[in-house]
Amino acid sequence: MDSGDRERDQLLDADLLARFAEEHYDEIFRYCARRLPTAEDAKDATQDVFMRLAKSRAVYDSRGKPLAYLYTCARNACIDIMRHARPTVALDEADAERIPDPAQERYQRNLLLADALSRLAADEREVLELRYGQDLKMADVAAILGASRFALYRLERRALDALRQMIGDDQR
Amino acid sequence: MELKLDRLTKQFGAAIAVDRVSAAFSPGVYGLLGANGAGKTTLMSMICDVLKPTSGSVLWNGSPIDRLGASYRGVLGYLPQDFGYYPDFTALDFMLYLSALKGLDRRAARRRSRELLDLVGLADVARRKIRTFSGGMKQRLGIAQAVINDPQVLVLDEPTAGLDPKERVRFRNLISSLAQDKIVILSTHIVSDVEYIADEILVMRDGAILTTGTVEQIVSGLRGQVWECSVSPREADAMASRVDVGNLHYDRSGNAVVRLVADAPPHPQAHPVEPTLEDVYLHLFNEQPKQPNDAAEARGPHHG
Amino acid sequence: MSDSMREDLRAYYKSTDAPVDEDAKAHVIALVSGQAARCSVVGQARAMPYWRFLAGQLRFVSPRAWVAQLTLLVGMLLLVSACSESDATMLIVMVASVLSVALAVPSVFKSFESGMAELEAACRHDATQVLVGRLILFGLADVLWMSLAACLVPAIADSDPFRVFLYAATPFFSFCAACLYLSRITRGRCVTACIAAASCTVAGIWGASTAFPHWYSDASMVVWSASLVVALALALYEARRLVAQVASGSIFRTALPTRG
Repeated sequence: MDSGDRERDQLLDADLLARFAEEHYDEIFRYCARRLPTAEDAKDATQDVFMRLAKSRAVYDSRGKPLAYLYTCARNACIDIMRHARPTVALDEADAERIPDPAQERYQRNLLLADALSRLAADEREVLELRYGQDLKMADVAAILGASRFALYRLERRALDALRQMIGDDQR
Repeated sequence: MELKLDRLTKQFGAAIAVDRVSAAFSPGVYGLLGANGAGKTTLMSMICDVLKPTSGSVLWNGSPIDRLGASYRGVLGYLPQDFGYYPDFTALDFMLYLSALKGLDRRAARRRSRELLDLVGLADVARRKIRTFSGGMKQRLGIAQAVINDPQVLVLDEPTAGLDPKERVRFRNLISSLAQDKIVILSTHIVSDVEYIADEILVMRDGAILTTGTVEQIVSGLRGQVWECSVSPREADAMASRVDVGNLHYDRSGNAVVRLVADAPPHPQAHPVEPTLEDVYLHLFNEQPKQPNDAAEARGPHHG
Repeated sequence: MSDSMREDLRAYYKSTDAPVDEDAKAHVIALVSGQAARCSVVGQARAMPYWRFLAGQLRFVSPRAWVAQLTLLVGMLLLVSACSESDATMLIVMVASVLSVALAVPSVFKSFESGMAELEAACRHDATQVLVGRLILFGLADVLWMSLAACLVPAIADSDPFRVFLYAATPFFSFCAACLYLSRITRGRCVTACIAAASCTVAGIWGASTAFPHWYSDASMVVWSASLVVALALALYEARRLVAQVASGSIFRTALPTRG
């Protein structure tokens, strides 16, 4: 029985499932918040995701780790809500609403990054978000995206290079 | 979560009890309405994997149940019409025994048994022998065992027959509360029960499904065809010999108030009334729907 | 250089993160606990290995059934020792083995007599498994029974152990076949029929011995062994037919076309 199975079996214990929700609520909320227009939408999506996790017998059958299932649910939940909301906005516009105090030192840098990220290919952006936004290990990212770690490392490197080029770091 | 019946058929020799029934169920309460001998119990037995069909199949989330076997029965809850119990069993023994068969481990079984006996109001008689129970108590025990494994499909065969009105209401509320995100299929003669709690009704006659729909949809089919008129008792008798009279009662002035289904006004003084499910039942089955106290005969003395 | 980009990215994402609403979070966790509490029962309701199911079934066999079997065994041994001089010892063994089957019948077919079988049929471990389980449990008990008889009777009555085994096993399996057959044709309600059959068989055995004394020892070992094989085959055949009837559901009362 691999560790994925063991973790899944432990989820059968109600206390552990609640603890799992406690541990991962924040990151799923932030993940959804980045994709959805309002915080309310994000809260709704997050609640959907965890209820689906708790209710669904599929989580006991899923071959990957519960985390992968969680993120897949999250992406689907966001897609569902977005379908009923306004059409996809460029990332920078949504983020611009959330960029806080202009007096912050990183303000300029963040603006540049936001712009550059929005110009990346979707899969590159996805990897960067999961790695640096959600702080996930590459193994988890691989389970979530259903790709090999090798391919993802390459994708990540490409994405980082593209960012550097756009921002002008490679000329520093 | 979908239960599908695909041309389900059961034949006993030359007699066809269930005739190519097809239906699809998703979470909600479904009422199976039909006269005695319509094939309801046979159909439910096949849904519960108790009886193997002659042809056709039952599909759970796309897979045929004969292939799923035990894992399908694991998500089932079944309350047959006249169930038995081992002679010396107490209510708690009964629950624990069936929990074991449903695959619950001992700790969970004990916990769930107590929870459910509490829920159905049998907590104080948990250690009493079932043979001392009244009909209503036995039915409540039956439904407790049906939900002990938190099934996704709950099949109840005539669950309220033989219960007094107070118990019927209690039972109805119990079923409604337990019906959250489950597929509940219940069969009944008692039209009023199914009227209130079913999201959808399936009307069955001679082994086949005549019509399905919400109560409103089924009833609207008779709109404009149900009449009531107040006539003298003699006229009422004459009418009864000509047409099928649905309801006949006497008002204070001694007149007979006749209610019946007809295409055209059966009497100059007849006025149209809103159809009810009972009218539909009469019209389809040409007989009176079973009144609650009639059904008490069906629930005879138990041999267990 | 590459490190600073990663750091930048992390800082960027962190700065643009939406704040978490703690109330909403607490609400979701409460919902999840409630839901999970319901599901955890189901999660534990998984198929268990058959041997564990059998062990569980053992709990539900009434102790009286085992006491009855033990009493029969002890009674037989006592009688044999009392009659150890006469020729009745072998008859006693034969009658006792028939009775041990008859004593087991009420327990094995309990589900059908009481009407529990329909409830069992819709469970994960269904009526078929329950019946087969009980047949196995009582089968094992009777193997033990016959082994004890085959060991102890020769010691008491000074006879050939193999013969004793044959005299015990052949009527045993023949009568098993008879009871299984009766159960099939009476849809599981066979207790009275089996008791009647047992009485007839016992009377038959005794009657045969008065008419033809030593009929059993006159018949050769070959004839007895062949009879044992036939009896065993019949018993297995009837068992299979009964189990098939239960599995198809035609044993249940709901399988009658006149019911609603």
